[in-house]
Amino acid sequence: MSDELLDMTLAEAAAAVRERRVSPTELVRRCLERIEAHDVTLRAWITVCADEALAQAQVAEKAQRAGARVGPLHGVPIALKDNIATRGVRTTAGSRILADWIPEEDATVTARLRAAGAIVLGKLNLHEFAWGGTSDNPHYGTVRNPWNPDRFPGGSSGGSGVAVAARMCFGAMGTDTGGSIRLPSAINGITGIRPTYGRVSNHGIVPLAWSMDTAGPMARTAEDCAILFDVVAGHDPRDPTSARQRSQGCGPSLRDSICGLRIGVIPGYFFHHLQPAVEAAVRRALDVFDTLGADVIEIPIEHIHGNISAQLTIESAEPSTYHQHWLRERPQDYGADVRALLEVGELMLATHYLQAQRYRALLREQFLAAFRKVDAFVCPTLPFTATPVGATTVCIENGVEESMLSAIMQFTGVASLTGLPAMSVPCGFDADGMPIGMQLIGRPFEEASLFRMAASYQGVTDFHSRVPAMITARARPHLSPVQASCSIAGVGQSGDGHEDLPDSGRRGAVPVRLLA
Amino acid sequence: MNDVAALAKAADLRLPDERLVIVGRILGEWWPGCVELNRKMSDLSRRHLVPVTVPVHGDDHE
Repeated sequence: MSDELLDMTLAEAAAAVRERRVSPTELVRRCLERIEAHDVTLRAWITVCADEALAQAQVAEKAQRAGARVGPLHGVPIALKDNIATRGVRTTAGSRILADWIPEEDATVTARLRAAGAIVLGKLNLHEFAWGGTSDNPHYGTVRNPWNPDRFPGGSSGGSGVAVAARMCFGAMGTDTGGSIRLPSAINGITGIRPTYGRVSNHGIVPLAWSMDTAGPMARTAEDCAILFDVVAGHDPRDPTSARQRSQGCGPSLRDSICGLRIGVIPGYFFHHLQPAVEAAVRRALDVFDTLGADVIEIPIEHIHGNISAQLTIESAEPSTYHQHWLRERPQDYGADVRALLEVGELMLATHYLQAQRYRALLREQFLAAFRKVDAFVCPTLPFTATPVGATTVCIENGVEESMLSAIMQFTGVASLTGLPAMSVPCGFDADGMPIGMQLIGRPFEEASLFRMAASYQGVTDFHSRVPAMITARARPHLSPVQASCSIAGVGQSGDGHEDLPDSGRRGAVPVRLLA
Repeated sequence: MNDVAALAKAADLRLPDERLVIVGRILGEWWPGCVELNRKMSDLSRRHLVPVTVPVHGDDHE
């Protein structure tokens, strides 16, 4: 019975609660049991709010019994990456520096999820301050992949990817700067979307590189992600980077046909320098789209090369600005890799940063021109499958070892730089049984089109519904101490107590939109 | 390493020798890409002088 409940998608769980076939308390209890059984190995959680979640579940049941109007996520347990503020619950950003930060208010996305009826089960582990792609966290434990705990889960939203894949919650929120939603989605075999930059509020989210930071949903299916997206998307006057574009709701068009859709593939880039199993899986996915009536078209992007350098430049300079004070006052409190990257960002030249920003304008211009001929692009989410835990290099082809950080962003950096919406969808497994993801990239503010593509694909494939073998194995009895804790104090401890975000000494996350 | 030390000094960042080595190694890997991007961008027209840091956003797509 418990597996049947946890095997429901978020959409199914919401419907089951709405129709009173299952109670929110039962869902919360099952999730907590799953966490207790497996998180000692997987380390996906930093804080589990067991008591609060059970209390919320009882309130949800009372409201339903009283005939109250309920939201689309009523009684559904979800979780948040731990760089997203939660009122009264510590928000660490995976760091020692913010280990004791207890926000006074919810991030906008947290508040919107709660208003829609979601039950927040807790806070998920991540790469420290979201600055990295492995989720090998020196302060809260190394997150491990449920498909094989000896492999890494990707990052930086590794805990979100693992918690969803291991059926510990029905959906999660991640954040994505250079690929941090899409990478762990692909590597853990789930679905995740980085919405258009500005579509989802960043208010109350600890920044990384604020000209690219974007929060978004991670869940089992495209439909689940669409439900979460419709709840969290929309203008927020408290976020200076928030777009005013209205979201029409993605649910109604989810089942529409994709017949006639034009899918672009960039020759010489999207299928260049990647593992054979990844290429084969994504090419098979293109065949599926073809069968569904889409047209696959090769379309060059002249200046596609250079994006990884631009990505690394911006993604190193902006975080180092936010962290400048802490890096001088508390350098020993950073993990070794993040400290080194923050020091590197301090030394990037202004001309390098500005040329990278100029390149973004060029790349965006070329993608928008290409969108006159195609409706979306399809490519691998990343060029390789999960590497061993702790690896800092990866071998993609010809036995050559290369840096994990630049290799992992080979295909995700494009959407980060241009601000385009991009989604990772499970599309296969390699010979070792590790998941493979494909990336769909769409026009600005046309997330609905990506959800429709992904839902069509998931309607005729089953990669998204497969379950890691370890999850069906016998439960383990122990819960590690750090995961058993839950902060419920109501007093903020962020700097002077008046900021919505912890401040490293200066006001952070200032958008540098110099010219309109 | 002297170059990196000079930059760190300019940034008022006190890095001991062992950290200068770590940072210098990463910069050594990244700077060639930056220089290549400099060359690419030096050939382009003035319209890309716009310092866009919010590239797909709001008003121009409403």
